[in-house]
Amino acid sequence: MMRDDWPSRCHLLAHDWLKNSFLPNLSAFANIMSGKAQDPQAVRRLANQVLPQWETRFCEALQLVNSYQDEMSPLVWFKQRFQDKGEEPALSFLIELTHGLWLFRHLVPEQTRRARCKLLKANRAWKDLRDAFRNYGSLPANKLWPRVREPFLRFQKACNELMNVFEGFKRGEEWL
Amino acid sequence: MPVIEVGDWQVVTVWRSDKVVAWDKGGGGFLERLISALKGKLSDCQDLDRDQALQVAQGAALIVAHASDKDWKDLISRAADDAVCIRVASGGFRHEPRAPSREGSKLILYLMQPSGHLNEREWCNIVSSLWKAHVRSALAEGQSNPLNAYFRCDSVDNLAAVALLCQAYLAVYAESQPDGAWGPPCLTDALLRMRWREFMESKSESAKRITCQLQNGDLRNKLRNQVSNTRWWQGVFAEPSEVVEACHRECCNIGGSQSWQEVQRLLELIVRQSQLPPPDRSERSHPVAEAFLAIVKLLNRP
Repeated sequence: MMRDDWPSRCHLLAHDWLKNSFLPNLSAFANIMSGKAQDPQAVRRLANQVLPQWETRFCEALQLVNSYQDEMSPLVWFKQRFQDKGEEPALSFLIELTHGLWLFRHLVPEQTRRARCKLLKANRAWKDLRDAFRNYGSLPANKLWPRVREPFLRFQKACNELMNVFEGFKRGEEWL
Repeated sequence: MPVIEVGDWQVVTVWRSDKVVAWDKGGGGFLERLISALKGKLSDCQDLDRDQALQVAQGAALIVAHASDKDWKDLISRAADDAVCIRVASGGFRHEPRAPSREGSKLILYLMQPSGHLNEREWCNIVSSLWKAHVRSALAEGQSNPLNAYFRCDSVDNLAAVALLCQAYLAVYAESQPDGAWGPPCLTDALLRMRWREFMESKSESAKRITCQLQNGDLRNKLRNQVSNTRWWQGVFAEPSEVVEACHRECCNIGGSQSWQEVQRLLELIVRQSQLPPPDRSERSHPVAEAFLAIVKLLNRP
C-alpha cells in the first residue's frame, strides 16, 4: 500500500514546521511581549522572517486539507489493487461500502470541515496581525505591544488549534 | 532505585540495577505513563538539566527518547554497549518507518505509534519484554515477536484485503432483526464491530446508496451469490494459492499468532471450497464473522 505522500506532506507541515518551528517562534515572541524575555530584534524578526512564512504555508495547508479525502480514502488502494477486476456488482458494492464506512467511522467530512475552519480563522488573525505590524511596526515596544497583542494572541491560539486538528487526521490505513 | 526527573525533559531511573533514561523534549505525552508502568521499581525523583541528564545517560541500558536529532545521537552514543534505544515521536514513525537496527551492539528502535497513544500496560509490556534477550534478538533480526507491532511497519496488505472482503460479505447478509438489532446472530458481533447499525442510520450519501442497493431484492441476491463464491475472494489476490502463507506471515510479523486460527479457518475455505456456507440462523458463529473480528483485533493493536 504505497500512499506515503499525504502523510509525509502532513508531517512536514504540521509537525516539522508548525509544531517544531513556527509555534516555538510565536511562543518566544509571546515571552518577549509579556516581559519574560528580552530581544531587541524580536519585532523585526517576527515581522520579516516568521510571519511571512504563514502565507505560503497557509496555501499548502489548505491544499493538504482539501486533498485528504481523495488521497487517503481506501478507494486509492482499491484502484491500485482491483484495477483489472472489471465492473462486477459485488466489487462496486465493496468499494462503495469501504469508502462509506471510512468516511463515517473517521468523521472525515467533519474533520476536513473543522480543519478548513481553523485554517481560515488563523488566516484572518494573521491578516490582522500583519496589518497591525504594517501600521505600528515602527513604534517603540511599549506603544506597539498594546496594538499587536490581541491579534497576536488570537493568531497564536488559532495556530495551536490548527496543530491539534492536524494531529487528529488519520495518517495510516486505518480503514477497519 | 532512584528516578531523576527533569521537569518536562527527562527521567532517569535505575531499574533492576540497569539504568533507564526517559527523555521528553516536550509534547511527547508519554513520561507519565512510562513512569506508571515502572511503578514499584522506582523510588526517588529529582530534577536535572539537559546536560546533567545527558551525563546520567552514560551507560544506560534502556533509553526512551522524544528528542531532537542531535540529542538522539548524543544519547545513543552514551548508552551502554548492549543498550536498547527507543526513539518516539508525538506523531509516531509510521509515516517514515525505520526498521529495528543495530548500531554496534546497541539495538535502535523507532516507535511506530504516536508516543502519547500508548497506555501504561503497553509501556509495561514493552519494557518488560525488552529485558528478554530473545525478544531483542528477534526484533533485530526481523523475526516474529510480540513487539513487532510497536516497532515494525510491515505490510498487512493481504490481511487488510481479507477483512475488507469480509465486510462486504457481512453487509450483504446483514438483516434487521425484530428487536432492532442486526443479525443473523452468527454475524451480530462482527456487524457491531463494523458499526453497521450506526452507519446505516447515519443518513450519509454512502449509506443511502448502500441501502438502495440492498433493498433491491434481485441485486441483493446477486451480491449474495458473488460474495459466497470463493472465486470472488480469490480474485483479489495475485497468487490465491499463496494467500494462506502470505496472511500467516503478516499475522506473525505483527505479533498476532494467537488470532491466526480464525483467519486460517476462513482462508482454508476460500482456497479449498467453491462456496462459503451461508449464515446459519441456529449457529452462534460464522467463519467470515470470526475471521473479520480476529483481523480487526490484530490490525487495531496495539
